[in-house]
Amino acid sequence: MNHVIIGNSFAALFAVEAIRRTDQDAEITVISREPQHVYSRAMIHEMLAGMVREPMVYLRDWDFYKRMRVRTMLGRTVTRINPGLHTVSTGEDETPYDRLLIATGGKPFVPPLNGLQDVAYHSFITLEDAKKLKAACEGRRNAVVLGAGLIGLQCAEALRHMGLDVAVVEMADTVLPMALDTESSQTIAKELADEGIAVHTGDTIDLIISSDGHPTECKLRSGGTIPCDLLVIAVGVRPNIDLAKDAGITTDRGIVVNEHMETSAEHIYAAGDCAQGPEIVTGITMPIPVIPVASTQGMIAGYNMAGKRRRYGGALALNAMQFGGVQVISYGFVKDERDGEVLKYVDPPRKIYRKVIIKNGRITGAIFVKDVDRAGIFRHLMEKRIDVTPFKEHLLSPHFGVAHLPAEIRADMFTRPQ
Amino acid sequence: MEYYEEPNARVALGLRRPEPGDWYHGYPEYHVERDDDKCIRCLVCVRQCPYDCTFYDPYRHGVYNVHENCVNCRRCEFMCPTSAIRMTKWGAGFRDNDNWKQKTIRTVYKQADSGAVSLTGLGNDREYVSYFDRMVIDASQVTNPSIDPLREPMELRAYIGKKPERHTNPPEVYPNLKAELPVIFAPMSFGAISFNFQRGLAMAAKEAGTYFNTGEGGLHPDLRQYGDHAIVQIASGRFGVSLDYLSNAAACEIKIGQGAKPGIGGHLPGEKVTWDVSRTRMIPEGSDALSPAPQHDIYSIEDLRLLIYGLKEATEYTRPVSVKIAAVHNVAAIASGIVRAGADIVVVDGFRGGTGAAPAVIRDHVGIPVEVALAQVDQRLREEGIRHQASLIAAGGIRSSADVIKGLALGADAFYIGTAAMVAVGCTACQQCHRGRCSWGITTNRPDLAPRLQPEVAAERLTNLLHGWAHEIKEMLGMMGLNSIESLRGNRLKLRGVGMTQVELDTLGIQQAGL
Amino acid sequence: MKRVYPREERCINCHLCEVACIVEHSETKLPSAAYHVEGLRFNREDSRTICDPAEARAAGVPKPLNRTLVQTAGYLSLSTNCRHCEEPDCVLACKNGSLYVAEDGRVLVQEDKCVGCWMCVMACRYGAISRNPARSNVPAVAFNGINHHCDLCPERELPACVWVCPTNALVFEDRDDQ
Repeated sequence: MNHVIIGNSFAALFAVEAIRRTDQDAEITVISREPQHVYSRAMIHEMLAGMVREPMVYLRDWDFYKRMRVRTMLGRTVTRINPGLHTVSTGEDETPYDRLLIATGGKPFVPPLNGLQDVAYHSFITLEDAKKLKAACEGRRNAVVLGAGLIGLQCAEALRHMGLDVAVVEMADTVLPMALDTESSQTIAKELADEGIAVHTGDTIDLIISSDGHPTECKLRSGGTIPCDLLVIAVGVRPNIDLAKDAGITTDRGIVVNEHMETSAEHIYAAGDCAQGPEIVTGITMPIPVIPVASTQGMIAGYNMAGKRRRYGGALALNAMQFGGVQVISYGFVKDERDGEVLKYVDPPRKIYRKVIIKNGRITGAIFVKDVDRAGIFRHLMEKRIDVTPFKEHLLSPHFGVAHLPAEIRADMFTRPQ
Repeated sequence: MEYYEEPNARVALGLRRPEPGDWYHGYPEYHVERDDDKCIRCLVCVRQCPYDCTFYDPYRHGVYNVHENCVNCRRCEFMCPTSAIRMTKWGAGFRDNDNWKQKTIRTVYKQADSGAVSLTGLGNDREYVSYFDRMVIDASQVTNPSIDPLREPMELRAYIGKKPERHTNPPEVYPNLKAELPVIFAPMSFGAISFNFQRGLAMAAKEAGTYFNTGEGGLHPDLRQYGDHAIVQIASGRFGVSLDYLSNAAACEIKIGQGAKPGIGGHLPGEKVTWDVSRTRMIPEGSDALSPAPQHDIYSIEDLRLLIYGLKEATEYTRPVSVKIAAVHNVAAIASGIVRAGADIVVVDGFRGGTGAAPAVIRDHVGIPVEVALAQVDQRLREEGIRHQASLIAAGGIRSSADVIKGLALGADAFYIGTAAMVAVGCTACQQCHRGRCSWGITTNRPDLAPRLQPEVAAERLTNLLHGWAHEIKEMLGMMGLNSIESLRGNRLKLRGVGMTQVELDTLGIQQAGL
Repeated sequence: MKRVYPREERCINCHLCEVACIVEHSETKLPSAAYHVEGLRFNREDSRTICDPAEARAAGVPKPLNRTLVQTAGYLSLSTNCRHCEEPDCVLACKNGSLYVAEDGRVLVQEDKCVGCWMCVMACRYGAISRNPARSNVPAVAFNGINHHCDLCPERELPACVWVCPTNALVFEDRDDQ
């Protein structure tokens, strides 16, 4: 069996491992636009700030491809997929496949801004971006990051750590508008302010003033002007679905896949940030661009490609982050409180905040700020669709743990191998 | 970190003023010494103490004690991973006075405070004469060679029940208990003791080929499988008695009296009647299980005969019926009546016998030692020629294999061990059984305390104890030149008294040492 | 593979498993030293070791961390630790590949690679992963601590928690066939 994987990040990595675990003789080819060894995009801000040594960015040892007997085509861009011919084309040559996995991830979205065409600006997605940005930081004083999503804030924090004055501009009213609810994002905004990062929410850049192709200042819609000699655009990431679209594969916001990670085309699978698979709380398909989902989808795709039928019940949106001294872990839909029962625990002096949203006895969203011990149990409750009504009053207790769960669930978790 | 907010801890911390009623606590009996250098603040002792004695103070990051509450159960000492704890007596205590002893004064304080009967657990702890300790055993020298039990067979098996009067062909056979050694676990009811302990007793009885006694609390459904090794009790409360209960067992026992509290019935407080206990005893959950003082259908020997034969009918004469009485004055005459009423086994329970809860005044002052009762009963039954009609079980105060040997020589067929069995599984004899929060999980069914004793651990330790005793009994029989317990039974020549008056020697039917 | 399984009906909530765990993973393997001295070797920003317990408490130095955790609710208690899953959620979530499944099936962490990003804490559905703040590979303020979970005591035949449990409420056995 000849497996071809487009992409070289979490989904591709776990697909390779799953294929190799199932089929010792399969041929595996990994084609990636990026020339690097398999690395983590979630580490690039730490890399930028110089917090970590470069080897810590790479997900596996240097001999990973050799151990897995993977043929690598790194630094090569796939231009076309031919589902009829069972080949992928890189422009120069055609690579045949029996099974194909599209794990192309996301691509940055750049909004139209006045004056953007005249200046050098930075994205912050890949290791290459980070290295370029690091080089560009030399001698700069005032950085402006457009977008207060996870990437934008991590970039801002890294730049601040490097000693730059950083301003973050966000169109929405809060930071991390997609991931957090109001209370938690206020806590994060305060942490950022304490770190010396200026956050402008409910605002956007109207005009970028430049000289010699370098930005000098940004005019905001609210009327103010902020100095800027380094501009990072981190507004968002869109699923990278161009290849699939061109090949006639069904796409929506992402490449639509079923619970076996199969696309509409035969023998073509998709996983990771580019895929749009079933979600577990709502049951509908949506792209969920987080690492655990990408890894799991990749693994499931890998098993199915190698002939071991595996089903993925559905992904749960979940995230963990830390800004300043505050950690946040969130599960599911933390902003959607409609028709739901909302349980809250707030302890402002200690910055502790916990919220659980329950609909029809099932948890649909949970968020934990600062006190995050054993939060993972909520993932289990949500993924297994466990009715939490019998022990609802304990959910927010700082001592909540497996002992509060019904006996049969506890037995399922702790008396058999997992 | 949890803060253990016990009322007395708050007093000790100065967070609460002492209230009237706290004051007699001002004289601690024991002192919990904690080596602060060794203490790692793991709080194991805090979690293990069921008597509200140990607490953690987060402000000082230290573990402290309300010494007044310490009962010297030594659980914390046992569990401490760094051996940082030890118990000592608290100071000088009250002024030395052999009449007004520490304990006497404390009891008066306590009763003046509460106006209630002073309850206690375990057995009589007073300094009465122990006749067991004043009897010594004979050994063979030269003329009558001793036997080596490792080289020659030694018979410890005891058949307990009615024996035929004379040999006939075919022989008359009566239902008997067959114990591989003459030691049986004493009646301890589920409710008074934990389920785990009773299960341990059952497992050990099965393993060692002897019997356990359910006490008056019924037989838990999970222990039904051990029915072949169970003696089931019918007490004045009739808890848990059903036809299945009777016919599933090896023997039935009518409880008339208990050595620790002759003349009064058992009392299990409602809070100890958990769902499991209520199901086993067939009483509502949470209700007090109060046994009447007498069996209200037995006001005479004739009434007793009715019940004995009622049980024999119910079990179709396939099981021996036992009658248990406390050792009191005139015990010999009472036992004679019981045998004539048709009992196959008579159990005589001495005043050292234990209890789950009894008024201290009764436990300490009522009844007589089992040694004299045993000697008198055996003597009387022999004189009346009815000794073969019933076996004699001695209970209450059997502490070692030496007591077993001495008791055999005084005429007993077998022995009940209760306190010894509890000590074998960890009891430290702290006498708090009546409080229902035994720190060793023996006399409690509180769900956090009961798992401290695990049935198989208990069973293993009990089996070990029986095995050790059996070995010692064999050694002692061998040294007397005997090869079976049958040869020792009632053989009072093997005993001599030390430091007794002639009346005492005559009562026991033995001679002065040296003669 | 052999794993540690709790038997909650036997647990007496004494927390000796936690003590044994801390002692086993200490340098001296002596309880007093493990708690009083080694717990204070704290890799703070100024890289100073605090040796005075009072000062350590004032500075908020954490007490030594156990990898097994007794969880309680009312009378119920059970000791929980890493399940060493076959397809561990934490490995799938690990941000930089520092968690891995070893050849013998144990889920382990590369202690010099972990950046303390909380992804594994988020992913572990058993709540079995905690953070060891005494070590850090990222010297910045924002990121401290590394993944801390059961390693099944590589130096022992029987994990320390199982060995110490006074009521055999923890068992170390292979239930893969069940």
